[in-house]
Amino acid sequence: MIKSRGEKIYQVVINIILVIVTLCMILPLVLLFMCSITEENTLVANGYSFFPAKFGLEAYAYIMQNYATVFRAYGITILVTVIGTFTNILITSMLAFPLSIEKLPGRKFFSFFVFFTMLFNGGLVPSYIMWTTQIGIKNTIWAYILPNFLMSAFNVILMRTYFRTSIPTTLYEAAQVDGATYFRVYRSLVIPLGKPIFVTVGLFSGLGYWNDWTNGLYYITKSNMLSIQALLNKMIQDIQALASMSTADSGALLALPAVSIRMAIAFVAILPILIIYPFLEKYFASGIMLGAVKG
Amino acid sequence: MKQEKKKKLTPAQYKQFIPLYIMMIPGLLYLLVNNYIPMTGIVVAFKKYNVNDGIYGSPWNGFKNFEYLLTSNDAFTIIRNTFLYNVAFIIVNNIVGIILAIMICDVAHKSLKKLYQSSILLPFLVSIVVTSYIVFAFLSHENGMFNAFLTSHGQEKIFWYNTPKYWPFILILVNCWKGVGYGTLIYIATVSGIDGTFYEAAALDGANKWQQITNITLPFLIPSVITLLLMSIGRIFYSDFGLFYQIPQNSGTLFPVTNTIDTYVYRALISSGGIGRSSAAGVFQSVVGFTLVCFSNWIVSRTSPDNAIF
Amino acid sequence: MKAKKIFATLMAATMAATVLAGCGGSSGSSAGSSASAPASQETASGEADTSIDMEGEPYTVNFCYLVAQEGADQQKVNEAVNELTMRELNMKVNMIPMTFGTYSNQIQLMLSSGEDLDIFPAFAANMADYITSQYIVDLNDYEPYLTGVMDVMGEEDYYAGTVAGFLTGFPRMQERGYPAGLVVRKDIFDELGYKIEDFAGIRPDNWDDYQKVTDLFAAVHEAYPDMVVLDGTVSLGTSTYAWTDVLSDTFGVLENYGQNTTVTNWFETDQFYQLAKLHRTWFENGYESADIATNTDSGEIKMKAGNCFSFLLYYKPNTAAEKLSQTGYEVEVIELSDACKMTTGVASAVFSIANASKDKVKAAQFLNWAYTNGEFNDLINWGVEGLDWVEDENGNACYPEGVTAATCGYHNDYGWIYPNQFAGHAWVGNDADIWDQYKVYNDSMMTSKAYGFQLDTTPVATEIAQLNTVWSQYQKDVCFGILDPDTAIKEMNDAMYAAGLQTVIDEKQKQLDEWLAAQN
Repeated sequence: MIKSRGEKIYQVVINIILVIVTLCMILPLVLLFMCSITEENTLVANGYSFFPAKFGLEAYAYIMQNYATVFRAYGITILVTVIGTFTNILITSMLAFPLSIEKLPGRKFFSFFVFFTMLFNGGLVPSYIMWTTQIGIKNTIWAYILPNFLMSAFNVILMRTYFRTSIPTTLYEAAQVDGATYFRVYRSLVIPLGKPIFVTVGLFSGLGYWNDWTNGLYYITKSNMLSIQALLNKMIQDIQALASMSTADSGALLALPAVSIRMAIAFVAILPILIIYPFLEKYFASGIMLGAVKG
Repeated sequence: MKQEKKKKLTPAQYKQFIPLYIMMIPGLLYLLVNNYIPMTGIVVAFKKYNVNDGIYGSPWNGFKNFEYLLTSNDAFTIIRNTFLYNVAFIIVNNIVGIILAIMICDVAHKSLKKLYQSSILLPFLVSIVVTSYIVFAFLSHENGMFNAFLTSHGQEKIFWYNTPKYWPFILILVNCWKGVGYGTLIYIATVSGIDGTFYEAAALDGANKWQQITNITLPFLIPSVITLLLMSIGRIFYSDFGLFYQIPQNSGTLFPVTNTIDTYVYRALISSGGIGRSSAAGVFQSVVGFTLVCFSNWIVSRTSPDNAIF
Repeated sequence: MKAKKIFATLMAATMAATVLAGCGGSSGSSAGSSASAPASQETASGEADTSIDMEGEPYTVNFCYLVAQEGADQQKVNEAVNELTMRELNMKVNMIPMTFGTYSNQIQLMLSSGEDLDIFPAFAANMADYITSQYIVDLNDYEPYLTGVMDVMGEEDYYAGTVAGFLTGFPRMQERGYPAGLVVRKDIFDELGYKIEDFAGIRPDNWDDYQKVTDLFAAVHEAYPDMVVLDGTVSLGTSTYAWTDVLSDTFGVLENYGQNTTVTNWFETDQFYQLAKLHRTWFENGYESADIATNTDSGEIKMKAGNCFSFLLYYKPNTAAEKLSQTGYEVEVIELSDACKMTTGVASAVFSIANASKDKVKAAQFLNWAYTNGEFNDLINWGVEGLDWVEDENGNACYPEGVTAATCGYHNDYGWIYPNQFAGHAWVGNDADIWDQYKVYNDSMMTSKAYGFQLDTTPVATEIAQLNTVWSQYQKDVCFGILDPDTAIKEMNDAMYAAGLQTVIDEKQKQLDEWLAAQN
């Protein structure tokens, strides 16, 4: 490709803009990290700062002291994320692919069936009754995987749109002329060609599982079953609930982890993703390239 | 019309679709269990619930559960706030997302491209409560970085958490910071799916960068944009509770610009819930969202039927 | 074909929905049948046999309670409790610990889905909903099994949880009044030459007295300009229990510690104005933290961090000892109001029996025992004796040797939210006769004329929901003095009346008059 002068200027301009954007995205997280290594009393007295007056590693010492809890929570989160994400991609694509076939009888009805779930929900209590008394997932690992996160209408529609716009129907037709069934088309055409959207949806689903604390709040009452986000959320909820109770004996408050520890746990909760992300990113990029060179 | 369509397909032609129907089973089953069966619980919004009679057996209560929400003096404010913020979020996040996606896809340097792509999603990983700590670090009256900056330059401190006029911008900014990566990623996937030969052909014809973007990239993005728009319209009366409650630190003076349906319901029912009244709000939000979506989908299907969701 | 498919889907959905309905109904109906007939052990003569069944299959009580945090020794505590209850009651206990942050979500789900639950702590604000939703049972029906509670509580407090004739649950044994107090750091207080006697008798009948506090703040502010003089989450105006009988929610109160019987709007009184005005002075002079209205860290945390001179709270007999261990600073407590016993304070949280209980008589017997057994109260509060705590020479509980707050496997210090902390041990640092001090203190305070009356909020639920939002909008900004009380209070009252304050006041007056008439 010949690089014109205009192209060069364009590259410089977008890089400058993107560097600024990247800084905006990263700096607050740096702040989060700095807070986690600030001495607790400095934090309460002087507030949060990029350059704290006094450093302290008490927060991480606290986490190490409770390593059993934290690591167990990690284990649960990782297990849930892996199982959940994989299943999610599988059933989402298996639903999205048929919906992208224009001539499928009943396509409009099924699309509506999927989309409708985004608009109406019965609220928490009926779902809770369904999942706990009928299916019995309370205090099990399934409580994190099944409710709400296994498949979302949003991702189904996203994938459907992608299949429809980015995979030419002529490819399907050619395959069918060769005598391939839709199962085969799905396996040998959709899966390889859909990689970018698979990775995108997988990423969303994985992040959804990783970040979720609501299922932990509703369906988990045993402390040894808490995921890392549920643990962090519970801690913060406890602090806020106690602070808002005027008659409470605030002695209990002091037993709760202090600000720097909350920050440290928040940071530790993100850390694995920061480590895994580049690898995922590589895959994501290759998926994108695959999408770019095809056709 | 439907009859005609049906007649066109012979049983043999139907047979080819059977694999497709089989593939759909797990997903549809999940939606049935996870969404449709609990959805029948919506009736509880019209009931005087008691646990002995269950959701379906409890006596009817008419619209009494909706009263606290719709007869309130704040009803107008909270509905307006919820609606306008969502409109602003949709516009800002989509525009910023598209611009970022186009720019990132154009970056020639591979590892820089990777860096940009990774970083935009980072804020999405931070929980909203932790985000509220970070925002507080900047805006705190006593120790905040902004006020420290202002005082060191001889300016008066600003009482951020007591000055409503800044908050629409702050909330839109925070929401964009936290959420823009999501949409950007979808657009990146779409942009990178565009056949490269289009650009080559355009370049040969002497089209400049801007013309390539407006004539090739944007038209390709339209289906994704419309899909995302339609989906966001359905949720236009929902609000992210954490964003409107935690980020402004629940500050009372800011209520006129931060109170939304979800925060209102939370504050109203904080001491005496009752599942009837709490689901009433959800029913209201769903019904309005549903109506709006059906309406917009109808418009889309009239103008470009391919892009309609259903 | 298409129509058929839709039909089939609908059928499947309906069937599944019926299953769902069936489950709600069936668990409900079994609960309903036993709810109306508590006399499962009634003898032929009609006299209830209240003795404990030591022979049959042991019943498992699902006991939900609040904890500070879940410790590693939770399982051991549960085993110890089981051993104890099997010995004394022929029952097993399934302990369901919850922390405050998750409690309100989880208990609401458990109750509304009819999950197995026998006894749980319930908060007064939810009572109207709990009664109409039939989540709890009327304890009046089980009175014969609850004689132990009556002995511990005395008749007056036993019935404090009554709402419109329905006995919702029993209060916990703790302080009965909530007077406002200011905790100040003793080192600075002494250094500036103050004596606690100088601050005796500050009461809301003479507003000039409060000037002493302002002067103290001014002196501290001058001596330590970088220090935050007043911090924390509590203001005088939000410490509503300290000034009036708030009748559940402060929307319509009985002024003068409940010695009046006319329901009035407290937010329009001179008292409320003066309290807001005081904070306004403190805020404008920079004594309060500039962030005080949005701060969520308690005064104890702030003081412990070392840059805070004082914070407000509801004081009680052992406040000074407690704050020393919590903040690491010796403190003095300046009393700012009298103590008054009112229903809202005493019955703010009660132990109730859930409708989902499979055997309510046994649940009642367990509850009765929980109020009388010291060992049980120690177990749930301090953990297993010898492992998590030991008795010291004064008869107080303390950590065993080698165990610290950080390494202890179970430690709640939540006596105030357990049935009867007075039956168990107090923590080290308290006087040996601390529980006697509490009893004297509780007996000495004045009692509201409406003590025992609790509002049934059902008729005004909509108004109260709307008033809650108004109050949450203004409370911090008005009471901490961020806004000028001269204009903001008027604005707040207008918003309150628009939200139906007068309707609530009228309803309260009506119910109160009926209740008063029934008393005589």
